[in-house]
Amino acid sequence: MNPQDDSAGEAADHFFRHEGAKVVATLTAHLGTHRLQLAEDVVQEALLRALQTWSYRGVPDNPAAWLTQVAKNLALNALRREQRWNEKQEGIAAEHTRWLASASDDMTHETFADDTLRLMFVCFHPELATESQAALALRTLCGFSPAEIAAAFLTSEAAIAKRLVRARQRIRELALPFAVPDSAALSSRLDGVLHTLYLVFNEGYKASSGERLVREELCQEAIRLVTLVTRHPATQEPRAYALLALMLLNAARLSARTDDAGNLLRLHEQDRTAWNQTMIQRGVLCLRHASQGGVLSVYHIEAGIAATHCTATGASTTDWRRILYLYDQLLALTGSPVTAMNRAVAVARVHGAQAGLDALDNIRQRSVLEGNHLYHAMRGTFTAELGQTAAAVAHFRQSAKLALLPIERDFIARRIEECVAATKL
Amino acid sequence: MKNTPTNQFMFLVQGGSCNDGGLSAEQMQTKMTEVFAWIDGLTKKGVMSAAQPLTPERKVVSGKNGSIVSDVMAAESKEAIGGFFIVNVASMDEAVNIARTCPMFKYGGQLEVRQIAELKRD
Repeated sequence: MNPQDDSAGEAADHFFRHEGAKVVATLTAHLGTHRLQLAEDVVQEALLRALQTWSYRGVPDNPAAWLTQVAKNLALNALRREQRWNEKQEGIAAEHTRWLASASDDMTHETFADDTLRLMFVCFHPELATESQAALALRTLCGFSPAEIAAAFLTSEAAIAKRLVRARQRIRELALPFAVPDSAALSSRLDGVLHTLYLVFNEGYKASSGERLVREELCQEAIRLVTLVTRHPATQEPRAYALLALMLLNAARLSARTDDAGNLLRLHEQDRTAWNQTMIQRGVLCLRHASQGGVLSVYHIEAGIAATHCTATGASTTDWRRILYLYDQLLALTGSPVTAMNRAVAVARVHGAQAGLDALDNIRQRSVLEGNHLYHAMRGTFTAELGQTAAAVAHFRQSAKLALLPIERDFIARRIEECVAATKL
Repeated sequence: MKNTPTNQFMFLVQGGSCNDGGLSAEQMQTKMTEVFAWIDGLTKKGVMSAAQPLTPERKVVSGKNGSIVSDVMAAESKEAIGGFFIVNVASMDEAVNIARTCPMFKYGGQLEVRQIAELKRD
């Protein structure tokens, strides 16, 4: 730091996480996926050295190049120490050594983005368990610590550490290539990548897990990674844009879902001015990109539903007919009872509460919903709207029994109070 | 010639700077931001005079004619001096009070506060 210079130079939000992750990707590109652990270790050390040096002197002009250079030097030293660095590997060794010993000024944004996308296809390889994919992605692509991943998935740090070890081991066993798959395999592999990113986003989005800050970060990371997918020529498919649109249009409303005390709010209770208009605009733009091409994915329809909510001027002017139409399409694609359950809300808004109840009754695999607290809360809401207060209270009580989190039980308790108040009138 | 105290004090930072491998990337960044804020605050007050980190490599030269050169093991780096700050204040008490505001403590670091002396000819 130069005391005469006021600007010590600050690092952008999540700089350590994101720049560290980029360097992990670049090192893995050159060292091979079997050395993923080594890449992670030297990057951790490089970040520590950055912390140590920059704390006194401020952030250098090109911090990414600084980090890359330090990590490369550390990797080179580690490889030289390795006994197994025998003659047999010399051909590869010489090439690695040349790169590791070279200057890092030529690292462009494109190189980092390319390497990150390739690492994404390694992390989201179908041979790895889905839960391992998500944990590994957060570790290597997002720079989360095992403790932070554990907090996001409501599990123990030890369990996450075990998942990570297993995933890296599996990558070594399978000798996974560090590459975007060729055109024959690309489509199905991209589906896998998008699906896991969708799950990571939903983990952050659902109100039923973890603390709010961690959840919002999960959503942000999923958005960041899908954005990368949409920017690469090989992967910028309409369904990737649709997924990005869906994430943006839902994340835009994330903070408005609860009040200042942390209580869950219903759609008509939310402060629409708190919705993030920048994200909504970006989401609508992505949805427009997504509509180029004849394929309609689940992501397209879900994004369409979110867009209809986002672009309504108020709860009363929401185009529920359009939402119902989209749910019909979604149900035709997924056939899932949860989709059918969510569709019932749109049915009730268009055709009335009795039609909503009928829609719930007509779900064929209704038995799988019996354990879902939202299903009973929905029945409670519809029967309350029909004036059948005693039945509504019974449904809400059943819902409260099944709800896992205090925030959900509080929400249901308020509904019961409303019913009781209504009978006293 | 005699040693004359100056109004400059050096904070030697021990530990809490490197080798805390338990920190996540995000925690590292938080820590750096805290230290920046501390330095900026002191710089604006005109108190901070210099700051410099030391690289982790350590060698000890000893023996007759400096014939023994030894590496200091990484395991001992917990006590290593990671860097120093120089502040301009009038007294040791004032220097100590400023040192106490340093964010390094919550990361297990400690500061040794020393007054810088100057040689003056009478």
